[in-house]
Amino acid sequence: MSSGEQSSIASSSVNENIPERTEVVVIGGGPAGSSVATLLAKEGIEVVLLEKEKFPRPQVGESILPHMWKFTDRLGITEKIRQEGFLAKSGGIIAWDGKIHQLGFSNFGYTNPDRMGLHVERDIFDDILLKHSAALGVHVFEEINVRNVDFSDAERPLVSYADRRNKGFANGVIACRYVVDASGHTSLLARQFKARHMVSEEIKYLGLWGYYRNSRYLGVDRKSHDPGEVRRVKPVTFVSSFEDGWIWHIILRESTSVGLVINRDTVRGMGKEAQTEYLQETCANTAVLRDLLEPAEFIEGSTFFRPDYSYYSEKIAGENFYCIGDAGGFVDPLFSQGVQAAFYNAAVAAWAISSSLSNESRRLRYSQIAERQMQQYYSFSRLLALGDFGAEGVDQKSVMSMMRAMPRNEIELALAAAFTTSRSDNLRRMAREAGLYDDFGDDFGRSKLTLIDHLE
Amino acid sequence: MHCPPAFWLVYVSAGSATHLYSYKTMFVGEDILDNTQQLLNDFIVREFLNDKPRTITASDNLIEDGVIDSLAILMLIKYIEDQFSVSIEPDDVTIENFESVATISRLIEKRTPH
Repeated sequence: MSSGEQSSIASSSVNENIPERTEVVVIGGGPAGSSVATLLAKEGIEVVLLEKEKFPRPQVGESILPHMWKFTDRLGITEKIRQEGFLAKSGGIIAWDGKIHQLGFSNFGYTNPDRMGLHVERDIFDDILLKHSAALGVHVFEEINVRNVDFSDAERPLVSYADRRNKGFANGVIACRYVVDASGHTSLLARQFKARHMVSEEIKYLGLWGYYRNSRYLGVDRKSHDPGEVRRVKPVTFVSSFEDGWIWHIILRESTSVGLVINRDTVRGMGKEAQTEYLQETCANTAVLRDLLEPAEFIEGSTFFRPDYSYYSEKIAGENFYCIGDAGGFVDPLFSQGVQAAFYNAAVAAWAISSSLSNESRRLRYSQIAERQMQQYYSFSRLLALGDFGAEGVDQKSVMSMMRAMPRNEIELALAAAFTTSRSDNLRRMAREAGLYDDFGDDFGRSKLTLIDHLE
Repeated sequence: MHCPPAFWLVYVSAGSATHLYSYKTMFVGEDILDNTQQLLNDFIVREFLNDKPRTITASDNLIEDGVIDSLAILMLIKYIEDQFSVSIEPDDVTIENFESVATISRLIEKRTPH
């Protein structure tokens, strides 16, 4: 585990009073919330962050892309993350509808072994990020449930919360200039504004996952390995489609995360036990996966369930608020876009808020610019992971424009991923229309991806 | 405003060739534009090319060359507004407007009240 000097974020804050006013209130302490708070604090802005859980706490979304490191550089946290020693992953193997592809990060310019993709234990990862925020002067308070935000005075949003520290339940209000909703799937402001919508009536996914001990894993060499070899032969994130959806297999340091993303009708009405059975049976019936899990034991009580994937919010920015990370939208986690989107949108929101604080007259205009940037990213993720189903309400021209501004290796990696499933035909068409596809040609898929006949 | 003519010499090395560009300014209008380009150039080099020393021309495609990305564009917007006292509208934020020092300075010119 990480350095044990402090078991909680800032033990002193357990008894500290929450201020009655501040410059920026951040709701939520996950990667989105802690990032925006850190970036603002670095500019000397006063930030109060309200997190509902006590860290460290379990969280899903364990596959991290190598794009992350440029964000950790900006946050000043690259060294701390490296020192923790998370497992480096080499890329992915995707078995989809009978075809198997391998995507290696090194084919896309990610060749530094210290800046690879990672498989992270999110409780530890998020805790490192949040501790860093506190170390930089963000006032972090845990076990605080934010109820709603009163925007009737545009200059002075009021955030109402329930303070559950010390087993209490005290109500409070904090006034601020700007609110950042980083409340994750709770998507507090989207619900408050009634702006939260499902991506499509046809897509009602949910996530059902659990943890195994002693699972084997697929390595970069496409062979199955004993978990003890995981530092010597880098693992891949293994994705398999099956008739009800798809499954991830993500090896971690002390367990393996295995999860299904399925249509919610599949498990309608099932209690925890039935869900666990369904998860285990599905794994046992899926090629390759069943072999990886053969020597493994399922960890009792480790089943988690998250309904209601694939939603978006119509309104993710205004003159005095920003919704970032999962709070602004979430799609199928197929291509590990979630944490990526959190970091990116946090940077955009921090830019807008910091610029607005130094020049009030800009704030509406900057919120509009920021909104467009953030929506582009969400839309891109939707198109990538959901294909045509994600296209509803998406400004395709705007996404194409964004794709042309993406760093070369990032757009190549996304397009290569788009080749591995049938989901992203729409995205490929758009890449072609944006004038990007011509650079790659039809050979692109062949040159950047490896099609595998079988796995051992 | 009186601006004497001035010569600006910029050495640019592109690959193995070295080009000598001379900006000879004759008129007040051109002077402002060139001054703008120089300031933009300095900002971009300072902010985004810190550890990757290279010089850029007014027409280099900064996005294709990987010098700037969408977050860098946001930083440029703030710089432009602070430095040149203009307001960049959301519709101005396009690849076309931000792809080179030349296009950015045209945008500034467009947004400068006359």
